[in-house]
Amino acid sequence: MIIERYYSSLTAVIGLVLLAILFAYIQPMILSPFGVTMSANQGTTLALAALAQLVVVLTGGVDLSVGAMVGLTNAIAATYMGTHPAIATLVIIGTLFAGTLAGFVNGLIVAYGRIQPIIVTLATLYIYTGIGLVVRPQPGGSVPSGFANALTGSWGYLPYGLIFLLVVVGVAWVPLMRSRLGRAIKAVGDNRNGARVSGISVARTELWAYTAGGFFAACAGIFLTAQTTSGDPTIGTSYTLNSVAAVVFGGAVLGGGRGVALGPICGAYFLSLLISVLFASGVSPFYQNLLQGAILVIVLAAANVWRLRTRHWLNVMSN
Amino acid sequence: MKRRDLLVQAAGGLGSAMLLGALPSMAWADNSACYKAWSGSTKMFSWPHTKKPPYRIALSNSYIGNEWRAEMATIAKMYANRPEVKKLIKDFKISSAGNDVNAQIAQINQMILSGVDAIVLDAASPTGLNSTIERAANAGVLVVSFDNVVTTDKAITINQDQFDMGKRWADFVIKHTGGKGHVLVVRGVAGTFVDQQRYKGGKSVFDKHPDIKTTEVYGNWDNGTAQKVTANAIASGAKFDAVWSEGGDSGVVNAFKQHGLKMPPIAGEAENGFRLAAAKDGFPMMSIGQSAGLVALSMKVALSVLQGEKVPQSIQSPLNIVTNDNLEKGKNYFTGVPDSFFDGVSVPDCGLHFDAKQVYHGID
Repeated sequence: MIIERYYSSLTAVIGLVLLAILFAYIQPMILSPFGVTMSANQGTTLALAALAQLVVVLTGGVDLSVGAMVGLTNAIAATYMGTHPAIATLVIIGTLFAGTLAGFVNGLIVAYGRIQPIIVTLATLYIYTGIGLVVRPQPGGSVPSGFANALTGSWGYLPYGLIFLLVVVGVAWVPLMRSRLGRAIKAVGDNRNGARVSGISVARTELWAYTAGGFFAACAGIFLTAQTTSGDPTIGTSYTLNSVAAVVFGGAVLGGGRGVALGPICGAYFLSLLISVLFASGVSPFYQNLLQGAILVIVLAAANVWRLRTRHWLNVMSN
Repeated sequence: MKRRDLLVQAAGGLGSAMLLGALPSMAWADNSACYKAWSGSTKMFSWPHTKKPPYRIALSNSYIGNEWRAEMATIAKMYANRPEVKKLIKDFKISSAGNDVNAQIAQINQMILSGVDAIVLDAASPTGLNSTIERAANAGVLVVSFDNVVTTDKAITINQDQFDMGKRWADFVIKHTGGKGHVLVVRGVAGTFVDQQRYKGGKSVFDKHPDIKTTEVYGNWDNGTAQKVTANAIASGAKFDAVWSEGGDSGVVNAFKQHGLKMPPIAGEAENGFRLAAAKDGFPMMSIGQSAGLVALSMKVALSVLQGEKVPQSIQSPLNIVTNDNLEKGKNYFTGVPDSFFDGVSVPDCGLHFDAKQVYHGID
């Protein structure tokens, strides 16, 4: 039962485990507390960004402004945080609010403006990057060292970054997905008209899904701020498409309706670990992007060939 | 022709190799004249983890999509192969992360894990790598940052003064326009430290001259983009009395040529096509280039510090200014390299000279 639920994540989980074993073989130092923490920290921002993408993808949309929201919240957090713990706490709350607001605006335009999500979020991508540049025209800012350590440090082999991710999943993601809204999100993504005739307000569901996306993007921005101890409005660019890649790799369907958090989270760690493995194996930088893409395509294709090798196509549908 | 070129180069190479071979002990004698502190308040940098050579050095580069970075990487290889350097280095690796801070963090972490002694760094973000650099320093890895420098004082930073560069370009523009007229300002990449500094330097001068009107465009330090935005600005009907440009100047020159306009005075970077055109057409020009040879200076500093020398934490390399008066073929502009080639390949005051053709063609 539980295996069936997480079946779609299998590719990402197996991929991540195999990649980690390969990495440990090439670079044994990775098994030290420092190595584990470092690898975990590298992937956590993308894992949170993948959650932001996933909640939107589940409705059948796509959010191209995820990277811009990560960059914007990073710029806000690093610019205003200062050094005093009390102020820092207020700024963190403010940052979460700003990200949520950005997501809310996305949702408002998508749901009530009735414009294709890809166009809306492309437009807001530019708007949020622009606001980020106004907040912080050049990279800089500072954060209290306690804040950075609390998120990126470790207790032996246990990285705090991983705990932060689990807290976000436990406190925000799981309750959201178990609520009526969570079920409505999946229903809308699975079958819009079906959801509508069952009495679900499609517009309202979309609005809150994008808003939740903004919140998770802000969590990613806050973690990124701790990781880089500074703000840079253009830093988020790479998270947009990588978050889509992590979501798809994690077994969610771009058409909407299907996907659990485990897959995209493992997908995110897989993608960020892949960069390290390519560096460690000494592949020329000119081929790294090419290999990254090729590996992704091959793994996904292989997983699908295996999955589709079934006698009854109805079995495929139930996956 | 080609064969003769080869022979000349081989003879030159042999000559310089003999010269350098004769001076092995002097090469690392005293570099204090070359390692100039950025300002009076710059602190000295002392490194607790000194050790005996040979060392393992890594170059962590970010962006790889332009000519300057390609030249820089080649110069790094050329410098690492020089006899006086080669004997100090056990292992030298270059890797590029693209303009992606997260990838560069991964890359530096990887270098720390693999146990290098020093990392020479051209950063994707001036601040995004700070915490990673601190971790490197704690792990006993020296970081020397140049060009796109980082803000942490846990790393040694080496650069030319970008603010001053922008200011001198603007001074030139004021001199040739008499302090009034319409100036086309071609900026670099928005949101970067270098663009901000150069622009602020230029603005500090223009702001004092109320009769100067400026039009700003972003050329992204790229000839293609700069040509396009300059052509757009010209097509809008404006008449420009001078150009202040951060880069992509061969493109700026081409845009004016295409419209059949008289070339205005241009202050810009060090692209070969720009200097070549100025030498040919004689329009007033000032060309100041960020030297790709800064990478060699950074490697030199890293090797000095690992051997125990104390250097300023922030080192300033002087600007190399070329105007119509000191344009010289074969010295500060070249034939046989493309227009997009950046002519600043040496750091003259540190005795770091590199052959432009060899830098262009690369070595393996």
